[in-house]
Amino acid sequence: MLTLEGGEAGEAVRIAGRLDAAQAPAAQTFLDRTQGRVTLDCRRLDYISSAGLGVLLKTQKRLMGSGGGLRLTGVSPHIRDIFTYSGFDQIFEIELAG
Amino acid sequence: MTARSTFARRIDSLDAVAAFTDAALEGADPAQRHAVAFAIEELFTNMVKYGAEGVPRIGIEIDHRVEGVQVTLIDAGVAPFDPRSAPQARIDAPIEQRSPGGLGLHVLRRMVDVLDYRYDAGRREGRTRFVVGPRTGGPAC
Repeated sequence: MLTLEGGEAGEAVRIAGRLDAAQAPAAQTFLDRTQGRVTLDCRRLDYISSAGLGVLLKTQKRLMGSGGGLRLTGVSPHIRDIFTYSGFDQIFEIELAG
Repeated sequence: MTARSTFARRIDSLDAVAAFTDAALEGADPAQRHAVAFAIEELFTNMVKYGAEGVPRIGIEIDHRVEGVQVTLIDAGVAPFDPRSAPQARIDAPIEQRSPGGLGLHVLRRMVDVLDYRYDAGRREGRTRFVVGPRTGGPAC
């Protein structure tokens, strides 16, 4: 189960649940509508797989191509490990959960 | 105790796979659960994507012990694929040269403590086994 909401008028996109291979297409469709500098609030993101990483990578490439970018906030230690192992800490601004 | 089940060879089986995994890992520390769930999904998803000719259901066995969680995925009716032989993903490339291809197995290999693969050519059956040790106090690998 995955939910995405927000993202209007500069507010953060809030993502909650599991971003796995089954949910990746819906997440991509949602994030394809974002523009500019986007914050993805990951405080309620329980899990991400490589399919989810692919969604974030595609979104970051598109946003950076037009001068924007994706910032990931509220990232849990387990998901931070996956970002580190995949080298995403080099291409995303990442803020850990407090 | 070993939990065993089989799942339809479809991406939309992932919810059922996740529920089975959660139940089998009750009591495991969160980092260990996360690593096991990630590895199972990556292997299962690969089997769905590249094993369309295989038998309709993929088997998963989870043996949860104090010293570690051992998982075996059983994929029959398919050509051999050893996940240890997959090329390394380029995780230090500039973003414009990055692609998601290969990331899953790359991360999986960082998260598990043991990964092996056996293939029975007569039965055309592959068995991928991995072990994730307890993570309390930091990664075991």
